[in-house]
Amino acid sequence: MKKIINNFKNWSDLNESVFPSLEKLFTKKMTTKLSTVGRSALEQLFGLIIKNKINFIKSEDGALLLKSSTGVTVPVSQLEKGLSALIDGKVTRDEFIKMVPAKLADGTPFSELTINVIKGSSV
Amino acid sequence: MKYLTPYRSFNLITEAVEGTGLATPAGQPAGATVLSCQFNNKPVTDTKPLTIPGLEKVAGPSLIVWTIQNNDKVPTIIVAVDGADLEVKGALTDWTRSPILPGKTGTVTLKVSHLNSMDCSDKVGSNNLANLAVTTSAGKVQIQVRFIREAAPTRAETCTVKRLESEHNLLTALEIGTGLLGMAFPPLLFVSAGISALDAKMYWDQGDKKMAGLTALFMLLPGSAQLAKSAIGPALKTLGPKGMSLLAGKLAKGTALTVIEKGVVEAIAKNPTVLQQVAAGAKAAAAKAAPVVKAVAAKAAPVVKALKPIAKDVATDTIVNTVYGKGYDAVAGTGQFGLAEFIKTKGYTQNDVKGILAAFGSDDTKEQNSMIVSAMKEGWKLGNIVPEKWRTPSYKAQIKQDTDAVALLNKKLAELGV
Repeated sequence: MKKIINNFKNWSDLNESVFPSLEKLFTKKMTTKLSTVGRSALEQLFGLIIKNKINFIKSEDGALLLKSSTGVTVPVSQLEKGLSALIDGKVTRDEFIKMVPAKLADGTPFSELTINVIKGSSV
Repeated sequence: MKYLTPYRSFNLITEAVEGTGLATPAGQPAGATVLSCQFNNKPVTDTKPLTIPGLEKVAGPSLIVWTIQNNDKVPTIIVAVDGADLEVKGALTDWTRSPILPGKTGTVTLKVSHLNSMDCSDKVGSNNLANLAVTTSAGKVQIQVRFIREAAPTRAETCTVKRLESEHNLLTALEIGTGLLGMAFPPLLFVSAGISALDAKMYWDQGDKKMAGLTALFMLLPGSAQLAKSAIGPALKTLGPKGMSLLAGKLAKGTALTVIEKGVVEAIAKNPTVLQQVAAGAKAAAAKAAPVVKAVAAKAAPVVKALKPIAKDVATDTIVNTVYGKGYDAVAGTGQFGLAEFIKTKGYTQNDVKGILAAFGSDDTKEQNSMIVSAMKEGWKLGNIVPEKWRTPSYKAQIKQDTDAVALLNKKLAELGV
């Protein structure tokens, strides 16, 4: 996962404040809250999300936004909070699936991958 | 009620008119209002005309930025900014993509380039009013921009028009050649060009129709009786089919041409109808040769297979910088070569087809793919919100689901206090 994030940070036009809290999520919550299968699925998920720059855009105030296939955006900070709430069990699997776009801008099916993460989680 | 209407003249004098307030126009949602406007970072008020430096003193395109405030109690999202008239004029729109929280502001930006904002044929004093429809999750806000030509076209504009006309003549001619190629059953065309046309077939098998067409047509030129009698006849004889194939490769890679090669290219450019004649002749010859096509193709297959790894190293992308590339793109840009060829003219690759179909919600039918072509011609890009008039039923359902998802995420996080 660290390799994936480092690779993402190499994008010159999006190299600031990338997933700062998400890194913490990986390093702390993943090891305690997720099963091995869940960690693997989460790594796969974010590997796919960040493989394509088109999935991201920066707002005018510098915030990183995740783009859906339809062009609707979600602030990454909100997504991080949502994932954290999911792993903490504060939102249910079904709730979380309804809170995220079905596909990312490059066509990556976001919801389906998220389901894999949830299935592999211990929460 | 008033709303902001900046006037922008072609020689860059802009002013905002219509009263003193910037309140929401009548009949528009109270939840989203136009708060202020800037023209190239200078505030535009509706009480005093704003004069800014002339064209020659302003670097790059002009930016008009409206700040829009969300006065509602729930977050709102700008889902689209439509202004067909502006797009025709080469103006680009952008806007805040993230949800605008209650009390916060977002922006709508209009980027206007100088030379294509109005036609040079527009008379001094003529003006065009364009409406921008800003669609938010709460409703629509209308913004207006008026373009006024206050001065005659500058020398720069005139020169640009002349250059475009010159290019247009060449492109039109090359379009004929490439258009014919598209209809001339290229595999047969390759056969008629002889066994040396394997080069062209190799490109064809790789999916690079542009390079295949250029190579095949060029290789046919030395066989033209008409050209043999022309001034470039000796040059074509010297180069031969193989030399012409090399010439095609040079054009693709943008490498330097010899004097002979340069003379041939210039002659073709001056008399491009020769491509039409050669292609038509080849088509007829190829039809007669049809029975042997399978046999030749069978023999060619192993050779082509062996050449493929080498061919991968041949950069074909640079062909867009050649005259042929422009001609091909001009035809491909109309969509008549299909969606895959069309998107290449927009900077995408074959690998992007799947993503574009998915994003657009296209069922890959001719009808819906033509909607993609139309939307892209008007400026839609992968990852952006599709203009309302080009939305497929699948896209409409998907964007509603996405918008609902983001709203639900925000609502749930607010409930959790995180």
